[in-house]
Amino acid sequence: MSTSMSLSRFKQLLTAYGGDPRHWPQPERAAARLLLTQSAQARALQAKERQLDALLAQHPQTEPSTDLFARIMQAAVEPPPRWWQKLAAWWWPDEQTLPWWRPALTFALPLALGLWLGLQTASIPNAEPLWQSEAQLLALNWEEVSE
Amino acid sequence: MQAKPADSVSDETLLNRIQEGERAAFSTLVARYLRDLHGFAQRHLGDPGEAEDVVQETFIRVWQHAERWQPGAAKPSTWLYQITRNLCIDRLRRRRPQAALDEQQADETHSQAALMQREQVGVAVQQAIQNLPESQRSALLLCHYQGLRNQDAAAVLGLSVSALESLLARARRGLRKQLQGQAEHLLGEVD
Repeated sequence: MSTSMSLSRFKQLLTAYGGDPRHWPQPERAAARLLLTQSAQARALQAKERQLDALLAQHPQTEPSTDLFARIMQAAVEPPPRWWQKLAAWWWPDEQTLPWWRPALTFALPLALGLWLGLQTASIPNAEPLWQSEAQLLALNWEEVSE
Repeated sequence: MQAKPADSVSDETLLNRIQEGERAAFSTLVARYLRDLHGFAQRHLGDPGEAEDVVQETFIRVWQHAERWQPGAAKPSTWLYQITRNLCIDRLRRRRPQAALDEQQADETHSQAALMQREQVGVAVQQAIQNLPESQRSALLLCHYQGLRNQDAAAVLGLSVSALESLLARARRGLRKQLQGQAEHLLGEVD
């Protein structure tokens, strides 16, 4: 921890954290306080920042409703979801967070795969029509009979 | 062995227990952070009702996604403020057109110098804070109002401490500029 502080660092401290020593970083607080006892300029700078602090202190903060705690506990009644529930929720989200493409993809992927496989097995390149094979077999039989 | 009072249990322990679905630990965490997170959200959004919604959503996320918090990666308080801040930012994005209207109305009110005459300094300060860019506003709220240490506030914002100090200085400069008129009435010359 440093025991001395330059005026320029003190200025930085004030412009960032204000004039209240409680807001200053703890490791620098002692050195800043020491500078305040030694420098009139430092005290003048602090007084200026304290004016802004006084204004900021006027910012209203309302307390949360007395039933907020109960509402949170009520809303968190379900146990945290397990990993498979999260996976299912990712694939099939509820209506509020519905990215439509996920369930659509769930159906479209197997459909596309089936179509692709079907097309692959159905289209055999250079396959001879069935009647040609039959005609060739008949021709062979005819030759054998006639011999 | 005697059970530890709930208040003496560390945040880390509470989150570990929440990860295992322990409601009592969740209840303790909510009680511990409810007021702080509400204060942050209320000042961030300028609307106590909306702040309550944000705080409720924050805790629901903690309950349902507690496993996302990794010990050692971030302090539990940092994680909670990060969630709250992100939810506030989402809200602000959604209501941007209305916010622009509000700003316009506020400017008109400022020009009439009516706020001070009606001793509504608090409202003027709130409006001035609302007018700050989000990152400056968050930095100011975390350090000045929530009393976070500078390292913790920097962690919430994902910044270095020197970057945080720069944001804070700009925030205070912006506030001083906006509140100069009011300050003359209340406290004499500010700048």
